[in-house]
Amino acid sequence: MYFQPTQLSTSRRPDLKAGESLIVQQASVGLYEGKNKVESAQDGVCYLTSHRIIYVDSKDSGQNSCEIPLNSIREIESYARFLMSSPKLILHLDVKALSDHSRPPAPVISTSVAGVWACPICFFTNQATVDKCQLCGVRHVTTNDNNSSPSQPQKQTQSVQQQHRQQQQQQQQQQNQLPANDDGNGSHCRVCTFINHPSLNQCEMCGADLITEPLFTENAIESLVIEDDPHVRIAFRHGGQPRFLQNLKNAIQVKAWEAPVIEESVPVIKSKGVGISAIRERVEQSTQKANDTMSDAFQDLNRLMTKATEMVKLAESISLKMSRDITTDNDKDMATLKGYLLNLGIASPVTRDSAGSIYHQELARELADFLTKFLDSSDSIKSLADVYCIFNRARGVALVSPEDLYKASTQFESLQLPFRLKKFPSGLLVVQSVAMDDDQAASRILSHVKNHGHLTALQLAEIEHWALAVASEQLLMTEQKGLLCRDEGPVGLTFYENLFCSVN
Amino acid sequence: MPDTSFEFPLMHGFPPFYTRQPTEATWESQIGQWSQVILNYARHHRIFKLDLQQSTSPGGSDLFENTKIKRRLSFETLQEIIQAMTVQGTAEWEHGPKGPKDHAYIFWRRPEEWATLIWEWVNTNGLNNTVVTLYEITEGDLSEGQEFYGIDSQVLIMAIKVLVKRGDAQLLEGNEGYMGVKFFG
Repeated sequence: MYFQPTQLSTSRRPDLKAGESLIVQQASVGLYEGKNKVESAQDGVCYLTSHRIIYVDSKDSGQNSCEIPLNSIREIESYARFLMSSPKLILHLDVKALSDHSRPPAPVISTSVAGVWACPICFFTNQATVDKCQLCGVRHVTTNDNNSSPSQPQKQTQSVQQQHRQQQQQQQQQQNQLPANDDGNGSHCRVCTFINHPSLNQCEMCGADLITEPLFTENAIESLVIEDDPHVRIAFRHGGQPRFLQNLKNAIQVKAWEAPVIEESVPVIKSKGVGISAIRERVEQSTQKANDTMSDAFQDLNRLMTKATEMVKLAESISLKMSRDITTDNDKDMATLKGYLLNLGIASPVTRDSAGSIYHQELARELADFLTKFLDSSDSIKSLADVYCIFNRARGVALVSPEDLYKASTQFESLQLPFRLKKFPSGLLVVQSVAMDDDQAASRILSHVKNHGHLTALQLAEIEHWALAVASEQLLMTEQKGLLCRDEGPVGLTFYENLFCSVN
Repeated sequence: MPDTSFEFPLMHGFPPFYTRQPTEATWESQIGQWSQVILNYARHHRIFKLDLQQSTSPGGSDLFENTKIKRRLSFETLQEIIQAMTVQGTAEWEHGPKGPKDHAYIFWRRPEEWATLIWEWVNTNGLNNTVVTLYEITEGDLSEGQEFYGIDSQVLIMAIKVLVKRGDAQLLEGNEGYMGVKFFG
């Protein structure tokens, strides 16, 4: 098996890692391992991300979906259409890289922990990869008692431990050849011969790298090489192969998996000492950096697209900062602004360019993903206009048109997503969760009416936190069902429990 | 002698009662309840004829206006209700189904029922084969205490026409329309 199982989001889209972005996707593809068809993966959507090729099966996406990392691809061969045979891409694989992928590749270790920590002294938000506060220089102390690196979050520690285990295995294998290493739980520095703690990457004394990689991988290759020419094929049954090939070549050239952290992280400013002037200088520098990012981003839309991830990061860090401020002073405006910023959060939006013919389907999935997070309860109703606003605000860049959003929403049912687009007789369009069908809504409204005696649309909108238009449509719907009756009184349209029908 | 002790049903104090319900089933049930109230009210106050315009104007009638909850039935809605009642046979437009629909007879008893009551009265009083004026039937000494005492003359004529059809009576025409009736044996 060259294909490895992959993680999917609730709406059956790939779960992207930090720093990973979606490049292109193609429907109706099938997979081959070597020359053999993978029976369970013959009709699905193929996603190309900056890190992986992900196959999501259209029938049983939970079971049959799989992925292959881009860094394991050694060579790409294109196979044109011939008679009944679809065009294919043949990917020759590097088995070593493939097996390496089972543990996270070195640079990704840091991206996967893309968290931040706040300095306990000055509250400056630091990248998790830095162990000294960038603003005031105070060391970050965590509860993690691992002596190797107190500032490193758990994940990295785990992967380091994993490496440690592998080192041990390898050391055991080599005990006979390398008697110098027979203590079994320390590693010699090649430069200064200091015996370091096995979980260290660098020598504690001289800072030289403690490399044991090559020895291990040689072993790994021996054990893993099964075939002379390991390769997989992707068959494009409904075209799209040239586009995919082009993007794949670019992605491999870019090698996004190798250097994501360096680009993303706030540059570590060489600090010389502390003090007011130094702090001010650093604050100025980071402001300058933020300004640069923004002015750079707004230069033109294409650039903006590439800066999307960065912009979202920026927004996240601002909101994090503000959430701290809110605890000190209860400013309502700040809370609102923070809410807006939290809404900003789709780092890799589906675009027409990347999705092609399945654009609306993909958009629907993304929308469902987003709504699951956004709608606080499972029985919410939002008018399509509201959804349009919040969705576009979350995308930040690459805005969708109302037409596209509408088309995407109409796909909810056929894609079996937990939302539905509903059109009221007046023409009002709303997106509601599946659980919120008319009967349930009607019975809820009826109970509200019974509690209050009578209700206007405005009152209902307040109770349910619905838009006014939604509330009045729901009341009319419930009236239509014969549960309510209306009173066109001096204060406007009021709804009462339907005593006409219950009396009879 | 208006009797104010007529007891309105609970519905009369229910605000939506005065709004025409758009939902079909609800509207039908609303019509049913309105016609019931109208008939009961008319029977209680011995109203035979309804002026729709007048009774739906402000202060026109305590039947169609509830000052406590400040609601009044609209002329159009009442028209619809009366129209439905004509279909059921409990009302009739004064000027026929094609005439202006602003006055209606309310049949808290149908003309057939009136005819039966009059026929019984004729038989018990031995008025067979005699000529009786319409005035004698509505206001005369002999009819005092009868349910049709004070009946609207048009409704009376409708009832007598039922008897005419049965062959039990004959209407006699005077200068100003029908004047009397001759009952047969």
